[in-house]
Amino acid sequence: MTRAPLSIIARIFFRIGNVTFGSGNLTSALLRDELVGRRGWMSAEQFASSFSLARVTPGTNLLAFCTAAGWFMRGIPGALAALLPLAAPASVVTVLLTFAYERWHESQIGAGAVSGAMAAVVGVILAGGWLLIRPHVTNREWPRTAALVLCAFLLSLWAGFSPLPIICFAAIVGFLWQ
Amino acid sequence: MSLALLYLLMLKATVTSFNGPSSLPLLRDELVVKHRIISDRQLNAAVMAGRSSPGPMGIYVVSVGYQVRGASGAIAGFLAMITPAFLVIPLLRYAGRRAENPRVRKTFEAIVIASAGLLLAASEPLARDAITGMLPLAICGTSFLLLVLTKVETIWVILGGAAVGIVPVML
Repeated sequence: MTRAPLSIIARIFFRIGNVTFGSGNLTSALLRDELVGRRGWMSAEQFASSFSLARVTPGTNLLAFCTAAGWFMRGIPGALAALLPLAAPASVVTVLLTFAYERWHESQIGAGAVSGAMAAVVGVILAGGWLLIRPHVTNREWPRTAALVLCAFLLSLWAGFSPLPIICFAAIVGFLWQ
Repeated sequence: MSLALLYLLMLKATVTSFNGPSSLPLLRDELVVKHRIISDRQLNAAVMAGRSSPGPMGIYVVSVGYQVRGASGAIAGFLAMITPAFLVIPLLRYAGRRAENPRVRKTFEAIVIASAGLLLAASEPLARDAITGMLPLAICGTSFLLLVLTKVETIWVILGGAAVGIVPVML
């Protein structure tokens, strides 16, 4: 495999990472096309390792994937060249949007827009929860999935447990209930 | 609150979640419930800003940091967001084969599934704040269906919600 220049790694991750919205899978697929298919800087096996281990790495999957892919191509400098150009510009946009919200939410039109947007966000969060469990509502898995979701929901909302012990409990259940 | 403590609290949320949005319950627990340094409304605004911008879903943490301590808080949030990503490197080196073990994979799946339950629980106070009538409820339901059933991007769903929210004000 050819050695990937750091500046071009940065440019690719900046370009692809900042035109896709929220969907880590889509961004990863586009990066695969570029890095494995077109440029041959990664093998398909390296891509698969990066993708699947990123899913079990704590934190945002997409960022772990960028780190892994960059590391495969050029070690730690490659990891940084992949991660920062993807994460930093999007973070600046996020801050600008927050700033805009703070300035405009007191005007009537601003308040109306923000109320509508917040209601939409609740729907977005609910959809996010559904998309997390959708692959696990098959005939065989749905009882376990339903039990885990319900327990986590009730332990959090009614029993007042903080998330960390609930996650540990889920890990134990997941290990034992295959 | 010092920047270092803010970074550590946000890191605690990001390093114990297994995808972007699932850091929300722990972040709420620390910043809204325990330390009371932001409100549910501000947290909802951060989620809105995060989902409206490009990049990964976990980016809302940067907005949370900004709301707590301005630009330096945003940097703390950014660092808390990217720090866990580096854990993939030792995983690649030493645990690559073990991660393919079906029992280990199932354990991680259970964590992801339980995170969905936690996400639903964390959305309850946000929903109480945002769903104040029939119109917000309709916007919420429509957003959910659009995301689950179609390929419409999140940004357009949120902008659509904002546009519909302006209608009663104009009328």
